[in-house]
Amino acid sequence: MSRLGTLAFRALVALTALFLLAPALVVVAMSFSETSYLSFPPQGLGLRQYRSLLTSDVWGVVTVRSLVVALPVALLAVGAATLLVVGLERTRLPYKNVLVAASTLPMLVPGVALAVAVYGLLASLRALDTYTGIILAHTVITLPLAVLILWPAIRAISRDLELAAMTLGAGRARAWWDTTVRLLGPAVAASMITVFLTSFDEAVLVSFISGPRTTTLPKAILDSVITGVDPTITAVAGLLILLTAVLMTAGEALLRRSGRR
Amino acid sequence: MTPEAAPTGAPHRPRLELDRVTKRYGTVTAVDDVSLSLAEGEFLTFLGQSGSGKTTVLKIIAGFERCDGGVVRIAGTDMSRKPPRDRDIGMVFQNYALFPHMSVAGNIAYGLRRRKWPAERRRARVREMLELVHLAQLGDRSPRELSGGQQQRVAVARALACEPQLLLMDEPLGALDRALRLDLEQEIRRIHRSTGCSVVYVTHDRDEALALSDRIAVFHDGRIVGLDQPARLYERPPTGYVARLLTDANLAALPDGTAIRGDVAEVVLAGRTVRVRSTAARTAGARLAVPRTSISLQPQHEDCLTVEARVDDVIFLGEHARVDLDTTALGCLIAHVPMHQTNNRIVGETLRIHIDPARCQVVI
Repeated sequence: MSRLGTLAFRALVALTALFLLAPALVVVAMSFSETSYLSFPPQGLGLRQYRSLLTSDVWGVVTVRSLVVALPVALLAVGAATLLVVGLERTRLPYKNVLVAASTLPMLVPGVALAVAVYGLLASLRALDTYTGIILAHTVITLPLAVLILWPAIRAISRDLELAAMTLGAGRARAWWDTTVRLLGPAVAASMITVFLTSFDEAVLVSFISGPRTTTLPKAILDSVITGVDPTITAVAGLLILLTAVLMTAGEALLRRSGRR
Repeated sequence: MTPEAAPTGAPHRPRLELDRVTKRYGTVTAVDDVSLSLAEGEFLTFLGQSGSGKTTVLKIIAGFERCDGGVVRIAGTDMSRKPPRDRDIGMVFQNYALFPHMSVAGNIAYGLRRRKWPAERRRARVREMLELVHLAQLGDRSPRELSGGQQQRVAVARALACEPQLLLMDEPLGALDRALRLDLEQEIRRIHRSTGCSVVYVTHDRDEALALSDRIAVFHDGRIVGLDQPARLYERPPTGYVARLLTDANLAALPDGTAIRGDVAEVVLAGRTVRVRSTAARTAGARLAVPRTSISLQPQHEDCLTVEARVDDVIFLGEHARVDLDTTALGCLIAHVPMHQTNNRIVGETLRIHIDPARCQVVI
């Protein structure tokens, strides 16, 4: 490629990145404004929004609720996905790829359509506005993510490693622990991070199935934008962006480590 | 446990005995009544094509598969129902199977840890094994930083670290390119000599088998169809299958009038009756194995059979040439002749070829 072409290409990449990041940057900039209303460009520069976030009794409660949902979802979805991929990889079942594809089906259904269906189901079970309902629904939609991360990871671990450990004096369980479990660990952690973030951040399903007792952070943000304009949400968003960036980077690093192996 | 079944096994006891071992998968018999024994320090190769049962027998010896019938004894102890952990074996895999999350030294020490060697002895043993495979400087490296040949040497060191009764090798050179294969072949010979370990080696490559083995067991359809020293198997293949696998011998239909008396066959060819060694009991289904190098384009000694042949093709292979021949007496034959005895101008000509009957054999 010519020098000019290279330059044009780099400019295009930079513009694309800017385009994608701009909304986040605007929100972060707004979160440092000193006004009591949403303002851009920010007026004054301070931590007013963050102070009001810390002193507010609403945002703390909904954040804890989101954690109460996202942590069990991470354990359930990744636990189920791990059992699924280990079972599929280490047995002689036919049609393995079909089963893997079937387990990712929830991802193909449009989110709103799934939400309507889950709403109907939970309503008939009288499980609307319950943590159990939200956790199970989130587990269903995040299971495909966990399977898609774990399936290639376990396929990359040779079964011979376990056999080698067994010839070297390890029992069956010990051999499994020392090889497959150890090597799958980073991918399990990475899929937990991805599932956690997805559930923590999920707004469509909870709009349908949560209620006053179970309003999570994304739902609360949505509500606050609809009902009035409280500039505190810019601080919430700023912190969310930071949390997501940190966790995603950690997840990527874990996956890269396991992929290299 | 009987007194003879002491775990250490007396030196005169075979390191490995297979007694009528059989394995079935559904209706398919993968291993059919295989018996053999391996002396201490012996290098035995299972040679066969894929699906011949050689790898299944290795898995049965290692304890990865259970046999449906028969007994596996290692150093005199019946191991048929024991897990791999208790069999006192070392194993080398085709794709190395090194633990990627451990260093080279960590890999070699793994078995020593599992067998509870104290840290001091463990370190000394790891150093000793690294020197044995000429990788003394690479103990701290990660396996993925090593070349394929180096990785396989680490795998050999790991398998031998605990001084197992038996070293099992499953196509250890299969993943390497040709030059590395020859190098590592030499390494395996040297390590076998210097440690005196008993080895069962699985391969489909006859050159490897011939170069490395004290004895070769040829597998075909789940059975052992030949078991002998390489030179004897090469010179006197017991069956046509072994002849073709080991030497690429021509297998020609027996001429009419051939009679078999004991271990000699009288073959009527080109108007003469010649006596040829025979391992076949009767002529039905038997064929005449004619090694490629037993055919010459120039007159040799007077015992040679002389037949007319048309030259279909001449292919240069380096030190010798492959000559494709069409004879009326024995059908199509392939000869390997020294380069200086031929050239490709003879293609299409009909000439007289000379076959040494002393190197031929009637086989079933």
